[in-house]
Amino acid sequence: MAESVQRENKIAALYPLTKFYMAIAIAAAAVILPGIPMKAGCFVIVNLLAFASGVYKIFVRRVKNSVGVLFLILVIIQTFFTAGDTVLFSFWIFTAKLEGLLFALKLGFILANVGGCLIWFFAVTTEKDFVLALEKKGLSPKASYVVLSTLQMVPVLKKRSEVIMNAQRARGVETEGSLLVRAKVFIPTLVPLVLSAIQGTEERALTLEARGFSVETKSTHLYDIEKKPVDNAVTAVTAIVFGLIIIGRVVVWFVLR
Amino acid sequence: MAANNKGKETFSIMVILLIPVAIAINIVGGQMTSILKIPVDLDMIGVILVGALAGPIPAAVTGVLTNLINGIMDPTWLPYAFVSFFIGISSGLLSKYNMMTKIWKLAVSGVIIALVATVTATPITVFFFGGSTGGGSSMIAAGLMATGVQIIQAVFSVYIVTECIGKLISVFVAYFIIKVLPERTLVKYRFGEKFIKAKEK
Repeated sequence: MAESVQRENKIAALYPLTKFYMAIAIAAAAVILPGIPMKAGCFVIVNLLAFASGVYKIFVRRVKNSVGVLFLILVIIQTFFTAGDTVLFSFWIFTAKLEGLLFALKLGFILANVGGCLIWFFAVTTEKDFVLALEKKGLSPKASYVVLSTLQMVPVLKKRSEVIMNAQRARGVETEGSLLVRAKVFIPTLVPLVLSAIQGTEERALTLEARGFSVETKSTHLYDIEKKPVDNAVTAVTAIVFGLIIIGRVVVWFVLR
Repeated sequence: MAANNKGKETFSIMVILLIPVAIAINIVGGQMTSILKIPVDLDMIGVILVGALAGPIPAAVTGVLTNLINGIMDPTWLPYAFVSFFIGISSGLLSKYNMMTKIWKLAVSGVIIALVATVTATPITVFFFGGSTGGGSSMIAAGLMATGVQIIQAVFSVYIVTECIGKLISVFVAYFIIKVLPERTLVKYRFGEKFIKAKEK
Protein backbone atom coordinates (compact mmCIF):
# COMPACT_ATOMS: atom_id res chain seq x y z
CA MET A 1 0.00 0.00 0.00
CA ALA A 2 2.66 2.54 0.95
CA GLU A 3 5.43 0.74 -0.88
CA SER A 4 5.27 2.88 -4.00
CA VAL A 5 5.86 6.15 -2.16
CA GLN A 6 8.48 4.77 0.17
CA ARG A 7 12.21 5.39 -0.04
CA GLU A 8 11.97 8.22 -2.59
CA ASN A 9 10.47 10.62 -0.10
CA LYS A 10 12.86 11.73 2.66
CA ILE A 11 10.24 11.72 5.43
CA ALA A 12 8.71 8.42 4.41
CA ALA A 13 12.16 6.81 4.30
CA LEU A 14 12.83 7.48 8.00
CA TYR A 15 13.07 4.56 10.42
CA PRO A 16 9.54 3.42 11.49
CA LEU A 17 10.04 4.23 15.16
CA THR A 18 11.30 7.72 14.33
CA LYS A 19 8.07 8.40 12.46
CA PHE A 20 6.11 6.79 15.28
CA TYR A 21 7.68 9.14 17.86
CA MET A 22 6.83 12.09 15.62
CA ALA A 23 3.20 10.98 15.33
CA ILE A 24 2.90 10.42 19.10
CA ALA A 25 4.53 13.79 19.86
CA ILE A 26 2.14 15.73 17.62
CA ALA A 27 -0.89 13.84 18.92
CA ALA A 28 0.16 14.44 22.55
CA ALA A 29 0.89 18.10 21.80
CA ALA A 30 -2.63 18.49 20.41
CA VAL A 31 -4.07 17.09 23.64
CA ILE A 32 -1.86 19.23 25.89
CA LEU A 33 -2.07 22.58 24.08
CA PRO A 34 -4.97 24.74 25.26
CA GLY A 35 -7.61 26.39 23.12
CA ILE A 36 -9.23 25.55 19.81
CA PRO A 37 -6.90 27.69 17.60
CA MET A 38 -3.77 25.89 18.93
CA LYS A 39 -5.35 22.48 18.37
CA ALA A 40 -6.43 23.51 14.88
CA GLY A 41 -2.85 24.65 14.31
CA CYS A 42 -1.61 21.17 15.24
CA PHE A 43 -3.98 19.70 12.67
CA VAL A 44 -2.54 22.05 10.04
CA ILE A 45 0.92 20.70 10.92
CA VAL A 46 -0.29 17.10 10.49
CA ASN A 47 -1.71 18.05 7.10
CA LEU A 48 1.56 19.71 6.05
CA LEU A 49 3.45 16.64 7.21
CA ALA A 50 1.22 14.35 5.14
CA PHE A 51 1.63 16.64 2.15
CA ALA A 52 5.41 16.75 2.51
CA SER A 53 5.54 12.95 2.79
CA GLY A 54 3.75 12.59 -0.54
CA VAL A 55 0.75 10.67 0.82
CA TYR A 56 -1.73 13.54 0.90
CA LYS A 57 -4.35 11.83 -1.27
CA ILE A 58 -4.55 8.68 0.89
CA PHE A 59 -4.37 10.82 4.03
CA VAL A 60 -7.29 13.04 3.07
CA ARG A 61 -9.46 10.11 2.01
CA ARG A 62 -8.90 8.14 5.21
CA VAL A 63 -9.30 11.16 7.49
CA LYS A 64 -12.54 12.10 5.74
CA ASN A 65 -13.98 8.59 6.07
CA SER A 66 -13.09 8.01 9.71
CA VAL A 67 -12.51 11.08 11.84
CA GLY A 68 -14.33 13.43 9.44
CA VAL A 69 -17.68 11.67 9.76
CA LEU A 70 -17.27 11.42 13.50
CA PHE A 71 -16.39 15.12 13.80
CA LEU A 72 -19.54 16.12 11.92
CA ILE A 73 -21.89 13.98 14.03
CA LEU A 74 -20.09 15.11 17.17
CA VAL A 75 -20.67 18.78 16.32
CA ILE A 76 -24.36 18.17 15.58
CA ILE A 77 -24.97 16.15 18.76
CA GLN A 78 -23.06 18.45 21.11
CA THR A 79 -24.34 21.73 19.63
CA PHE A 80 -27.99 20.81 19.76
CA PHE A 81 -28.30 18.41 22.67
CA THR A 82 -26.10 19.67 25.49
CA ALA A 83 -27.23 22.10 28.14
CA GLY A 84 -26.01 25.69 27.76
CA ASP A 85 -27.15 29.26 28.19
CA THR A 86 -25.72 31.05 25.14
CA VAL A 87 -28.16 30.38 22.33
CA LEU A 88 -26.68 30.82 18.87
CA PHE A 89 -29.83 30.26 16.84
CA SER A 90 -32.86 28.00 16.96
CA PHE A 91 -35.27 26.46 14.50
CA TRP A 92 -38.20 24.10 14.96
CA ILE A 93 -37.42 22.09 18.13
CA PHE A 94 -33.65 22.52 17.89
CA THR A 95 -31.60 25.12 19.70
CA ALA A 96 -27.90 25.55 18.93
CA LYS A 97 -25.82 26.40 21.99
CA LEU A 98 -22.38 27.98 22.00
CA GLU A 99 -21.07 25.87 24.90
CA GLY A 100 -21.88 22.66 23.05
CA LEU A 101 -20.30 23.88 19.84
CA LEU A 102 -17.08 24.92 21.59
CA PHE A 103 -16.88 21.59 23.43
CA ALA A 104 -17.47 19.73 20.15
CA LEU A 105 -14.77 21.72 18.34
CA LYS A 106 -12.28 21.12 21.14
CA LEU A 107 -12.91 17.37 21.31
CA GLY A 108 -13.22 17.15 17.53
CA PHE A 109 -9.80 18.71 16.95
CA ILE A 110 -8.19 16.42 19.51
CA LEU A 111 -9.73 13.43 17.71
CA ALA A 112 -8.73 14.80 14.31
CA ASN A 113 -5.15 15.26 15.49
CA VAL A 114 -4.74 11.87 17.15
CA GLY A 115 -6.50 10.11 14.28
CA GLY A 116 -4.67 12.15 11.66
CA CYS A 117 -1.27 11.37 13.18
CA LEU A 118 -1.98 7.64 13.17
CA ILE A 119 -3.34 7.75 9.63
CA TRP A 120 -0.26 9.65 8.48
CA PHE A 121 2.00 7.18 10.28
CA PHE A 122 0.46 4.11 8.64
CA ALA A 123 0.30 5.83 5.27
CA VAL A 124 4.09 6.37 5.25
CA THR A 125 5.06 3.14 7.01
CA THR A 126 4.44 -0.41 5.87
CA GLU A 127 3.12 -2.58 8.69
CA LYS A 128 5.98 -4.98 7.92
CA ASP A 129 8.61 -2.34 8.71
CA PHE A 130 6.80 -1.21 11.85
CA VAL A 131 6.46 -4.74 13.23
CA LEU A 132 10.11 -5.49 12.41
CA ALA A 133 11.19 -2.33 14.24
CA LEU A 134 9.06 -3.35 17.24
CA GLU A 135 10.57 -6.83 17.15
CA LYS A 136 14.03 -5.29 17.39
CA LYS A 137 12.79 -3.39 20.45
CA GLY A 138 11.83 -6.67 22.10
CA LEU A 139 8.41 -7.70 20.73
CA SER A 140 8.10 -11.49 20.68
CA PRO A 141 8.55 -12.99 17.19
CA LYS A 142 5.35 -14.97 17.73
CA ALA A 143 3.38 -11.76 18.27
CA SER A 144 4.85 -10.22 15.15
CA TYR A 145 4.00 -13.39 13.21
CA VAL A 146 0.37 -13.10 14.36
CA VAL A 147 0.14 -9.48 13.22
CA LEU A 148 1.83 -9.99 9.87
CA SER A 149 -0.03 -13.16 9.00
CA THR A 150 -3.33 -11.45 9.84
CA LEU A 151 -2.49 -8.62 7.47
CA GLN A 152 -1.80 -11.16 4.75
CA MET A 153 -4.86 -13.21 5.50
CA VAL A 154 -7.48 -10.45 5.42
CA PRO A 155 -7.29 -9.73 1.64
CA VAL A 156 -7.04 -13.47 0.87
CA LEU A 157 -10.12 -14.33 2.89
CA LYS A 158 -11.98 -11.33 1.52
CA LYS A 159 -11.35 -12.51 -2.00
CA ARG A 160 -12.34 -16.05 -1.07
CA SER A 161 -15.58 -14.81 0.50
CA GLU A 162 -16.47 -13.17 -2.83
CA VAL A 163 -15.73 -16.45 -4.66
CA ILE A 164 -17.90 -18.41 -2.22
CA MET A 165 -20.70 -15.86 -2.50
CA ASN A 166 -20.60 -16.15 -6.29
CA ALA A 167 -20.57 -19.95 -6.09
CA GLN A 168 -23.60 -19.91 -3.78
CA ARG A 169 -25.33 -17.50 -6.13
CA ALA A 170 -24.68 -19.93 -9.00
CA ARG A 171 -26.36 -22.65 -6.93
CA GLY A 172 -29.42 -20.44 -6.62
CA VAL A 173 -28.89 -18.79 -3.22
CA GLU A 174 -30.34 -15.30 -3.46
CA THR A 175 -28.01 -12.45 -2.44
CA GLU A 176 -30.36 -9.60 -3.18
CA GLY A 177 -33.85 -8.82 -1.96
CA SER A 178 -35.38 -8.27 1.45
CA LEU A 179 -33.33 -8.11 4.64
CA LEU A 180 -34.15 -11.70 5.58
CA VAL A 181 -33.07 -12.98 2.16
CA ARG A 182 -29.78 -11.11 2.39
CA ALA A 183 -29.19 -12.21 5.99
CA LYS A 184 -29.65 -15.84 4.96
CA VAL A 185 -26.60 -15.62 2.62
CA PHE A 186 -24.38 -14.81 5.57
CA ILE A 187 -24.18 -18.36 6.95
CA PRO A 188 -23.60 -20.25 3.64
CA THR A 189 -20.79 -17.82 2.85
CA LEU A 190 -19.13 -17.49 6.22
CA VAL A 191 -19.15 -21.17 7.26
CA PRO A 192 -17.22 -22.57 4.25
CA LEU A 193 -14.83 -19.63 4.53
CA VAL A 194 -14.08 -20.26 8.20
CA LEU A 195 -13.86 -24.03 7.80
CA SER A 196 -11.32 -23.85 4.99
CA ALA A 197 -9.32 -21.22 6.88
CA ILE A 198 -9.22 -23.29 10.08
CA GLN A 199 -8.31 -26.46 8.20
CA GLY A 200 -5.50 -24.50 6.57
CA THR A 201 -4.00 -23.72 9.98
CA GLU A 202 -3.08 -27.38 10.52
CA GLU A 203 -0.94 -27.42 7.41
CA ARG A 204 0.56 -24.11 8.35
CA ALA A 205 1.43 -25.43 11.83
CA LEU A 206 3.37 -28.30 10.23
CA THR A 207 5.12 -25.94 7.82
CA LEU A 208 6.10 -23.53 10.59
CA GLU A 209 7.33 -26.28 12.88
CA ALA A 210 9.40 -27.73 10.04
CA ARG A 211 11.10 -24.32 9.88
CA GLY A 212 11.79 -24.14 13.59
CA PHE A 213 9.07 -21.64 14.57
CA SER A 214 8.96 -22.83 18.20
CA VAL A 215 12.73 -23.00 18.64
CA GLU A 216 13.76 -20.70 21.45
CA THR A 217 16.71 -18.94 19.86
CA LYS A 218 17.22 -15.47 18.49
CA SER A 219 15.69 -15.37 15.03
CA THR A 220 17.39 -13.84 12.01
CA HIS A 221 15.71 -11.84 9.26
CA LEU A 222 15.89 -12.04 5.50
CA TYR A 223 14.39 -8.56 5.28
CA ASP A 224 16.04 -5.93 7.41
CA ILE A 225 15.91 -2.19 8.08
CA GLU A 226 18.55 -0.03 9.73
CA LYS A 227 18.49 3.19 11.71
CA LYS A 228 20.38 6.04 10.00
CA PRO A 229 22.12 9.03 11.64
CA VAL A 230 19.31 11.30 10.41
CA ASP A 231 16.86 9.25 12.51
CA ASN A 232 18.69 10.09 15.71
CA ALA A 233 18.70 13.76 14.73
CA VAL A 234 14.96 13.79 13.97
CA THR A 235 14.16 11.92 17.19
CA ALA A 236 16.24 14.41 19.18
CA VAL A 237 14.56 17.42 17.56
CA THR A 238 11.11 15.87 18.18
CA ALA A 239 11.98 15.26 21.84
CA ILE A 240 13.31 18.82 22.31
CA VAL A 241 10.28 20.47 20.68
CA PHE A 242 7.91 18.28 22.66
CA GLY A 243 9.82 19.05 25.87
CA LEU A 244 9.54 22.80 25.14
CA ILE A 245 5.78 22.45 24.58
CA ILE A 246 5.35 20.73 27.95
CA ILE A 247 7.51 23.35 29.72
CA GLY A 248 5.61 26.16 28.01
CA ARG A 249 2.29 24.63 29.03
CA VAL A 250 3.35 24.26 32.65
CA VAL A 251 4.68 27.83 32.76
CA VAL A 252 1.45 29.21 31.28
CA TRP A 253 -0.55 27.20 33.78
CA PHE A 254 1.45 28.60 36.72
CA VAL A 255 1.22 32.19 35.44
CA LEU A 256 -2.53 31.97 34.92
CA ARG A 257 -2.99 30.54 38.40
CA MET B 1 5.95 -28.53 21.81
CA ALA B 2 2.40 -28.41 20.60
CA ALA B 3 2.22 -32.12 19.88
CA ASN B 4 3.18 -33.52 23.27
CA ASN B 5 0.70 -31.64 25.44
CA LYS B 6 -2.18 -31.66 22.95
CA GLY B 7 -2.29 -27.88 22.74
CA LYS B 8 -3.61 -27.49 26.25
CA GLU B 9 -1.42 -24.52 27.13
CA THR B 10 -2.82 -21.01 26.59
CA PHE B 11 -0.71 -20.12 23.55
CA SER B 12 -0.01 -23.38 21.73
CA ILE B 13 0.95 -23.12 18.09
CA MET B 14 -2.61 -24.05 17.09
CA VAL B 15 -3.90 -21.06 19.04
CA ILE B 16 -1.24 -18.77 17.58
CA LEU B 17 -2.41 -19.85 14.14
CA LEU B 18 -6.10 -19.59 15.05
CA ILE B 19 -5.80 -15.95 16.13
CA PRO B 20 -4.98 -14.52 12.65
CA VAL B 21 -7.80 -16.57 11.15
CA ALA B 22 -10.21 -15.28 13.78
CA ILE B 23 -9.15 -11.66 13.26
CA ALA B 24 -9.62 -12.08 9.52
CA ILE B 25 -13.08 -13.58 10.16
CA ASN B 26 -13.95 -10.55 12.29
CA ILE B 27 -12.86 -8.15 9.58
CA VAL B 28 -14.35 -10.07 6.65
CA GLY B 29 -17.55 -10.69 8.64
CA GLY B 30 -17.82 -6.97 9.31
CA GLN B 31 -17.30 -6.19 5.64
CA MET B 32 -19.85 -8.81 4.56
CA THR B 33 -22.53 -7.21 6.70
CA SER B 34 -21.91 -3.95 4.86
CA ILE B 35 -21.86 -5.67 1.42
CA LEU B 36 -25.13 -7.46 2.18
CA LYS B 37 -26.47 -4.29 3.87
CA ILE B 38 -27.38 -6.12 7.08
CA PRO B 39 -27.91 -3.47 9.76
CA VAL B 40 -26.21 -5.34 12.65
CA ASP B 41 -22.54 -5.47 13.62
CA LEU B 42 -21.19 -8.99 13.21
CA ASP B 43 -17.55 -8.08 13.65
CA MET B 44 -16.85 -10.11 16.80
CA ILE B 45 -17.66 -13.64 15.56
CA GLY B 46 -13.97 -14.58 15.49
CA VAL B 47 -13.42 -13.35 19.04
CA ILE B 48 -16.35 -15.41 20.34
CA LEU B 49 -15.10 -18.42 18.36
CA VAL B 50 -11.61 -18.18 19.90
CA GLY B 51 -13.17 -17.65 23.33
CA ALA B 52 -15.27 -20.79 22.95
CA LEU B 53 -12.36 -22.91 21.70
CA ALA B 54 -9.23 -21.55 23.35
CA GLY B 55 -10.27 -19.57 26.43
CA PRO B 56 -10.38 -15.98 27.67
CA ILE B 57 -6.79 -14.78 27.18
CA PRO B 58 -6.41 -15.77 23.49
CA ALA B 59 -9.88 -14.33 22.82
CA ALA B 60 -8.95 -11.05 24.48
CA VAL B 61 -5.77 -10.91 22.40
CA THR B 62 -7.83 -11.58 19.27
CA GLY B 63 -10.25 -8.80 20.17
CA VAL B 64 -7.59 -6.21 20.90
CA LEU B 65 -5.63 -7.07 17.74
CA THR B 66 -8.80 -6.87 15.63
CA ASN B 67 -9.30 -3.30 16.77
CA LEU B 68 -5.63 -2.39 16.34
CA ILE B 69 -5.57 -3.73 12.79
CA ASN B 70 -8.86 -2.05 11.89
CA GLY B 71 -7.38 1.04 13.50
CA ILE B 72 -4.68 1.22 10.82
CA MET B 73 -7.32 2.32 8.33
CA ASP B 74 -9.74 3.97 10.74
CA PRO B 75 -8.27 5.12 14.08
CA THR B 76 -11.73 5.53 15.62
CA TRP B 77 -11.59 1.75 16.21
CA LEU B 78 -8.70 2.06 18.65
CA PRO B 79 -10.48 3.12 21.88
CA TYR B 80 -12.94 0.26 21.41
CA ALA B 81 -10.07 -2.24 21.79
CA PHE B 82 -11.01 -2.02 25.46
CA VAL B 83 -14.51 -3.30 24.60
CA SER B 84 -13.17 -6.16 22.48
CA PHE B 85 -10.85 -7.15 25.31
CA PHE B 86 -13.81 -7.66 27.63
CA ILE B 87 -15.90 -9.39 24.96
CA GLY B 88 -13.01 -11.84 24.58
CA ILE B 89 -12.61 -12.39 28.33
CA SER B 90 -16.34 -12.89 28.85
CA SER B 91 -16.81 -15.30 25.95
CA GLY B 92 -13.79 -17.32 27.12
CA LEU B 93 -15.12 -17.52 30.67
CA LEU B 94 -18.62 -18.43 29.47
CA SER B 95 -17.12 -21.30 27.48
CA LYS B 96 -15.01 -22.38 30.46
CA TYR B 97 -18.14 -22.73 32.58
CA ASN B 98 -19.92 -24.73 29.84
CA MET B 99 -22.25 -21.93 28.80
CA MET B 100 -21.76 -22.46 25.06
CA THR B 101 -23.07 -25.97 24.52
CA LYS B 102 -26.88 -25.76 24.46
CA ILE B 103 -29.32 -23.45 22.69
CA TRP B 104 -30.69 -21.79 25.86
CA LYS B 105 -27.18 -21.44 27.28
CA LEU B 106 -26.07 -19.79 24.04
CA ALA B 107 -28.91 -17.30 24.28
CA VAL B 108 -27.93 -16.44 27.86
CA SER B 109 -24.27 -16.13 26.79
CA GLY B 110 -25.23 -13.84 23.93
CA VAL B 111 -27.11 -11.51 26.27
CA ILE B 112 -24.26 -11.52 28.82
CA ILE B 113 -21.69 -10.67 26.12
CA ALA B 114 -24.00 -7.93 24.81
CA LEU B 115 -24.30 -6.46 28.33
CA VAL B 116 -20.52 -6.51 28.76
CA ALA B 117 -20.12 -4.81 25.37
CA THR B 118 -22.74 -2.15 26.15
CA VAL B 119 -21.37 -1.32 29.59
CA THR B 120 -17.81 -0.96 28.27
CA ALA B 121 -18.64 0.78 24.98
CA THR B 122 -21.04 3.44 26.33
CA PRO B 123 -18.45 5.38 28.39
CA ILE B 124 -16.00 5.28 25.45
CA THR B 125 -18.57 6.68 23.02
CA VAL B 126 -19.69 9.36 25.47
CA PHE B 127 -16.30 10.52 26.81
CA PHE B 128 -14.01 9.95 23.83
CA PHE B 129 -16.40 10.81 21.04
CA GLY B 130 -18.95 13.04 22.76
CA GLY B 131 -21.79 10.62 22.01
CA SER B 132 -21.05 10.17 18.32
CA THR B 133 -20.63 6.60 17.08
CA GLY B 134 -20.27 7.49 13.42
CA GLY B 135 -22.89 5.20 11.95
CA GLY B 136 -26.62 4.83 11.43
CA SER B 137 -27.05 4.09 15.12
CA SER B 138 -25.82 7.55 16.14
CA MET B 139 -28.70 9.03 14.16
CA ILE B 140 -31.12 7.03 16.32
CA ALA B 141 -29.20 8.21 19.40
CA ALA B 142 -29.47 11.80 18.17
CA GLY B 143 -33.21 11.29 17.67
CA LEU B 144 -33.53 10.13 21.28
CA MET B 145 -31.52 13.12 22.46
CA ALA B 146 -33.89 15.43 20.58
CA THR B 147 -36.72 14.13 22.73
CA GLY B 148 -34.82 15.29 25.81
CA VAL B 149 -32.96 12.11 26.82
CA GLN B 150 -29.46 12.60 28.29
CA ILE B 151 -26.57 11.73 25.95
CA ILE B 152 -25.31 8.85 28.08
CA GLN B 153 -28.79 7.32 28.38
CA ALA B 154 -29.45 7.70 24.65
CA VAL B 155 -26.18 6.00 23.72
CA PHE B 156 -26.75 3.25 26.28
CA SER B 157 -30.27 2.46 25.08
CA VAL B 158 -29.19 2.35 21.42
CA TYR B 159 -26.26 0.08 22.26
CA ILE B 160 -28.25 -2.32 24.40
CA VAL B 161 -30.60 -3.02 21.47
CA THR B 162 -28.01 -3.22 18.67
CA GLU B 163 -25.53 -5.21 20.79
CA CYS B 164 -28.14 -7.73 21.94
CA ILE B 165 -29.16 -8.48 18.36
CA GLY B 166 -25.58 -8.49 17.05
CA LYS B 167 -24.03 -10.57 19.82
CA LEU B 168 -26.87 -13.11 19.88
CA ILE B 169 -26.45 -13.71 16.16
CA SER B 170 -22.64 -13.79 16.53
CA VAL B 171 -22.78 -16.39 19.32
CA PHE B 172 -25.05 -18.63 17.27
CA VAL B 173 -22.90 -18.27 14.14
CA ALA B 174 -19.79 -19.13 16.19
CA TYR B 175 -21.56 -22.17 17.66
CA PHE B 176 -22.69 -23.25 14.21
CA ILE B 177 -19.10 -23.08 12.97
CA ILE B 178 -17.87 -25.15 15.93
CA LYS B 179 -20.61 -27.71 15.30
CA VAL B 180 -19.43 -28.35 11.74
CA LEU B 181 -15.71 -28.37 12.64
CA PRO B 182 -14.38 -31.94 12.54
CA GLU B 183 -13.49 -33.53 15.88
CA ARG B 184 -9.87 -33.99 14.92
CA THR B 185 -9.60 -30.20 14.71
CA LEU B 186 -11.64 -29.51 17.85
CA VAL B 187 -9.50 -31.77 20.01
CA LYS B 188 -6.47 -29.59 19.38
CA TYR B 189 -7.96 -26.65 21.28
CA ARG B 190 -8.23 -26.25 25.04
CA PHE B 191 -12.03 -26.30 25.30
CA GLY B 192 -12.62 -28.39 22.14
CA GLU B 193 -13.53 -31.51 24.09
CA LYS B 194 -16.54 -29.78 25.64
CA PHE B 195 -18.06 -29.46 22.18
CA ILE B 196 -17.19 -33.03 21.21
CA LYS B 197 -18.98 -34.26 24.35
CA ALA B 198 -21.93 -32.03 23.53
CA LYS B 199 -22.10 -33.56 20.08
CA GLU B 200 -22.20 -37.12 21.39
CA LYS B 201 -25.27 -36.48 23.53
